[in-house]
Amino acid sequence: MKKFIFILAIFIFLGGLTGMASKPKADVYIKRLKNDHYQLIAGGKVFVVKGVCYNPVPVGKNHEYDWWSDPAKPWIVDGKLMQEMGINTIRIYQPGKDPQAVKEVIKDLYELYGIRTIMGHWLGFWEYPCPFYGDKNFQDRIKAGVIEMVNNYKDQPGILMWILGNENNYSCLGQVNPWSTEEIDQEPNLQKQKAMRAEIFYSYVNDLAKEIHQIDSNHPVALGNGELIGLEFADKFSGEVDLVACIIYRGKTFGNLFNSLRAAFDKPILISEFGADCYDAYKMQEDQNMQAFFLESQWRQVYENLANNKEGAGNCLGGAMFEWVDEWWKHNESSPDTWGVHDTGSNWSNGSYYFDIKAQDNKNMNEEWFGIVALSDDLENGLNKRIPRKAYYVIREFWKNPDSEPQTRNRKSR
Amino acid sequence: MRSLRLLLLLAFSFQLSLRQAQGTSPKDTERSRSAVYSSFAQQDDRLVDLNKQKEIYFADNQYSEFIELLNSKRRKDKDIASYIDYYIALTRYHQLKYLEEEQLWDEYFNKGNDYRNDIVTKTDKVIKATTPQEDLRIYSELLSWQYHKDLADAFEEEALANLMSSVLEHSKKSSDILMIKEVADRFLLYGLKQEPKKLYKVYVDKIASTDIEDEELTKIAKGFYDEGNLGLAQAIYDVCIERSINSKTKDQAIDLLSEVARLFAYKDEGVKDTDYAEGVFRNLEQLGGEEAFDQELLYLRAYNLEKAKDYLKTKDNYIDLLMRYPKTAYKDRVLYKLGIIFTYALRDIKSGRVYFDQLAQREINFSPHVISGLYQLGILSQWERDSASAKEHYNKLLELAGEDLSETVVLTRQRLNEIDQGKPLEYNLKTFLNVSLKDEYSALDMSRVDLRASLYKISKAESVSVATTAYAMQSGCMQVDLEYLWSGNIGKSTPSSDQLSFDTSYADPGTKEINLVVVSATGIVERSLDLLDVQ
Amino acid sequence: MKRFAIVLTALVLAMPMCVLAEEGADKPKEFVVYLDKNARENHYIPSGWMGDHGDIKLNDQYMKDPHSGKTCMEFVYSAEKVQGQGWAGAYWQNPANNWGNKKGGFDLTGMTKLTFWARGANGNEKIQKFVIGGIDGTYPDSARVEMGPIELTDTWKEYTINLAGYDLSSISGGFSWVTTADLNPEGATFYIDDVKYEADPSMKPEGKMAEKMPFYVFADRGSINNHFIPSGWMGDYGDLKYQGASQEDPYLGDSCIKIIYNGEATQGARWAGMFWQNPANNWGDIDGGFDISKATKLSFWARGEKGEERIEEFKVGGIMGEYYDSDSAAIGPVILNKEWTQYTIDLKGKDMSYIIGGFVWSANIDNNPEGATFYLDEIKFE
Repeated sequence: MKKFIFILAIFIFLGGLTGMASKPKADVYIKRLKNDHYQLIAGGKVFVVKGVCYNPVPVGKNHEYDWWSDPAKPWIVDGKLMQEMGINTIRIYQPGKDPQAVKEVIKDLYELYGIRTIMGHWLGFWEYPCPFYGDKNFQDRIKAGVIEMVNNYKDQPGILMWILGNENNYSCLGQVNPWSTEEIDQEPNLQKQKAMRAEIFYSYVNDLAKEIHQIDSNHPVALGNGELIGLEFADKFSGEVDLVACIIYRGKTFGNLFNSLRAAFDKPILISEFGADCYDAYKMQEDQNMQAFFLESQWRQVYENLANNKEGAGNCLGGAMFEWVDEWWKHNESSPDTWGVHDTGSNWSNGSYYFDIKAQDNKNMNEEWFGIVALSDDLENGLNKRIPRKAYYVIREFWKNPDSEPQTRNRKSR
Repeated sequence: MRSLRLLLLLAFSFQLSLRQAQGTSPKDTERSRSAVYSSFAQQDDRLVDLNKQKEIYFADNQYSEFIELLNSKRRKDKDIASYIDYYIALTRYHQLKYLEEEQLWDEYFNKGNDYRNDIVTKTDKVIKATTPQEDLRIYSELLSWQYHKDLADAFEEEALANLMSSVLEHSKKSSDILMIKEVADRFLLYGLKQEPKKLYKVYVDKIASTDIEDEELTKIAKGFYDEGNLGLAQAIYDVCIERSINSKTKDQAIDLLSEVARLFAYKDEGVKDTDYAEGVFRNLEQLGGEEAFDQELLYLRAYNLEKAKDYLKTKDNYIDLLMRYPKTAYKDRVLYKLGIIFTYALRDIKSGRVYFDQLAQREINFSPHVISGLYQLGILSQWERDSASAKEHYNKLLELAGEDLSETVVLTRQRLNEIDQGKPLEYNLKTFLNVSLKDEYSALDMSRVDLRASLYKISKAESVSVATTAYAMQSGCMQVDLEYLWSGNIGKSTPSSDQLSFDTSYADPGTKEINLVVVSATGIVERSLDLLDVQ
Repeated sequence: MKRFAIVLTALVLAMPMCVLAEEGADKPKEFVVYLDKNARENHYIPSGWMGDHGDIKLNDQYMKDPHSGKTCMEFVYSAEKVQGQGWAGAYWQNPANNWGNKKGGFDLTGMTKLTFWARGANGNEKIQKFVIGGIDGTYPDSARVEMGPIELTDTWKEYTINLAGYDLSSISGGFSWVTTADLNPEGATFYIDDVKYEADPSMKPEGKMAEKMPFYVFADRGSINNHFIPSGWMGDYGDLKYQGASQEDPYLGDSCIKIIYNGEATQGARWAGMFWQNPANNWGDIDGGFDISKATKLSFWARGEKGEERIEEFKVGGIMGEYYDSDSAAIGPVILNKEWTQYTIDLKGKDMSYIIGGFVWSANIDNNPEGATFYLDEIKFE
């Protein structure tokens, strides 16, 4: 009898051990190193996100075009070019309508070119009249959409992470798509109003992140945020998110971004949208050098702040530059006549992009010219011909040898 | 020495003709660089051929093909290996520039490192194999410096220092002074300041010390003038002038000085330098006295000073012109200009009136300046509130002008209307007269504002642009909003007070004065005037 | 004739040739601006009077107690604001009255400092800045270097402007001083002597030093400690009036800042704001940032004329251009009180090592339908 119990105990013990050994590690997860730096691990290896925002709308169409189902399969052509450049990730703001089509794209990019997909969700930011984050029904409806997305794609090899929202935090400040609740409106102190909205929004994102973690332990969840604005509230209410995905347009430098993030909300950061346009609105001509200069400078700083670099904050996981190809519909969204024209107009101004800040009314940001790959009117196998710009090559060379001297120059700067 | 002259002439005229053929934009100048290297090419037929082939291949942007040819020649002609190495480096340099300009990024990036490597290794090789006395050394160091300068890398400074040292050493012994200029020109193209100055000085000193004939030297100076290289042209003309004063007859020296003065005196189109021209005029005067100036030259001197806005000296020369040539065809124009200059530029209304009166009292030959003179007398009286005199002048003007000179007639009618209706003088004009004639504004000496027209001698109906730049707005305070009060004879345009420039044209011939008062929120900042001649 | 020709040759060769440097085996060790009246070594002419030029009197052969030689220059600034500007200054120019429209720059390459001696009649005269170069125009100076503000003493003191590392290849504005009526309400009489450029090999280019705290943006109208200039007017700038010396119940000292935003949308923007910049009007195109890295906060006092004025944002930094602020920090929106209230912008964790935009406020019409009049005082980094 004693012998039997002893053998049983050993079996149970061994069974327990093998059980523990067989629990799989997440496909993608964030590792905090001993020096408090952060790394992204994907497929068991350190993964620096060398990404690009991807929305290949053909010339003549707008954002409603369902490129996921395009028989010409732009992602096949683009994927090859991306692979040759060294891109390992695409960022999608929101999946297409047909999950099968979306899965096919994710699969093709991953299996053919080793390119992973960051999948995002707008969290209803663009809904008319505004995103009612203070309303339970709205919250529930959006949550359902998010969970559906995760369920659809979580098992798709090639998914890298989820991003919740984009620059939705600006709606808490009343700057873009402002929303409110009765309770908030009754609060006389404006700072407090801001704080109340932020609490609602960041708590909501936290809640979403928690639910996603319960159904998908394989992929990190990112909080999409415009700049670092509001992250002091995320620190209090969004602890469940794994990282922050920030949209930053600060020209040639991210400034004190990485250290500021450490101080405000100590999570790793993915710069999920950054870049430069290649149209000089002052000289009124294309300027590929200008775009290449800004992008190279930006990528250098991303690399400076990767883990284990003594010079930086060690909290950057990489970036997804905006964007892969030009989108010819953006300058005048409501006018279909213009979607087939490569408009050179500009609706906004950013002094950090100082090469052409002297443009009329200082409007120097040309929405239709942010691609690192240009599109031609000419078709090649049913797709607008892709013509890589200088930035494509400059970044390609940089990634091959990040310690090399800069290839683009601007001597007059501090 | 003789060979030096020949060399200079050959190389220089070759360079000149190439420039004339290819234009002188920096891009064209870049491409024509290769032609100047004929100085060492002259030494060997094989190099002459190579140079010719280079031109052909470069014209078609067949750089890699040319490299292949060079490599094959290198195997055969080992004694000119260094030259071939240099050409390889030069070809790769041009190839990279071409790929960048045409945005042929594939090749630029895929092969770029190899091409750059070629440039560095080949130039290094040539530099090691040559001495500073050899032209090839200089050109290799020049290419190497340019390459590093374009990249703005860590080697740029050292490359520049080495190049300067070699060029200066080279210049001590070599007779090829054109090469010094070539390097200096390249420095200037890249925006360097000290180095080209240093080299140009060496160049000019060397020229001055040769026994090159005066006519040839003058040709060289003219060549630089035609290129627009004012500094160098002037430096060599100075040498020419010095020589002619020392060794030629007085008449010959006078001829040269007159020619040079004419070249640099103000003209609407082309190269000019009013300060330098006046300097030459001064020397001409000292050398030849009054007799050196015929009326054309005297008028040109005064006109040059007028465009340099040195009104004190302008009036002296115009007065001199009238005294020495009382029947000059310029008489009425000069009288009018003297009237304007004395009255408004020099604040001497009394003297100004004297000149306007000379025009107003004319009984025959009523030129447009006579009409304008009457107008000026009218507005001066009107400003002084002497309506009777003003009306007298205006009415006489209308009588004489008749159907002609519609612009002045329109202005006159406006003035008469003001008087008849008891209205004050038009605000902008009145302000200009106030600040130009009242003592309390004597500090406004027209120096803080620059008023320029795109052309100063125009035909009727020809378009001209007038613009102003205000200087000395340093206050450390917030942005100052300025108002521009235009008045005078400004043709068909009616610029508003927020315009600091405008386009206009004139229907009538004559001399047109454009007046400007610049006003800020806290008061009047400056005044200015300009004179145009309409044929 | 020969002698005449020699003289003429000398004249010809002496003609200004701005392209060629005066290079010789012996480089000059100094380049004099003023030693004594009519000294042969003198260069430049103090011809360029700016601002309230009617407030300035110059005696360039003042003989009483010069620093050296027989004479010095006496400037009497009356602060009467004859031209209504509130400031005045004098430029030494070459040639006289050259504001950049004529060729006249001397090549001072090799000079590493400008030294001069100055004293005040009484000893508390405040000069806002001494400047070399800085002339713009068709023939601009190759550099602009400033020093100041300086409070003079009543005894001769030597001052040095470090020019090491600057491009001095063309300087037509050889020397200049500027001061304001706010700094010298009773005027100022002061003396300048022995102004010269020197080639001192021991001078090294100056790096930026971290500023000591507190570092004022605005203390009082006359304060020599004020920094940054409220020059960057944005949005409906036509709606704004700025008074930098309001005596309407200042928080501290004898004056405060009064800002009137009339909310009329003159430029159609429906908002307005004001940036304090260094130097004035620097939107990131000039290297002018202060190193304020020792600051942990920016504090300031503000009140609204009526109370309830809403300022959308008070901010530090945020200028982005070729030269960019190292960071930014903001608070807002803020509803002002009628009483003076202190506000703080926390700078902990912020990189304040390079700041061009020292302070900025912005407001809009939607939240201030009748505009907003408000006051600011004691704006300082600490």
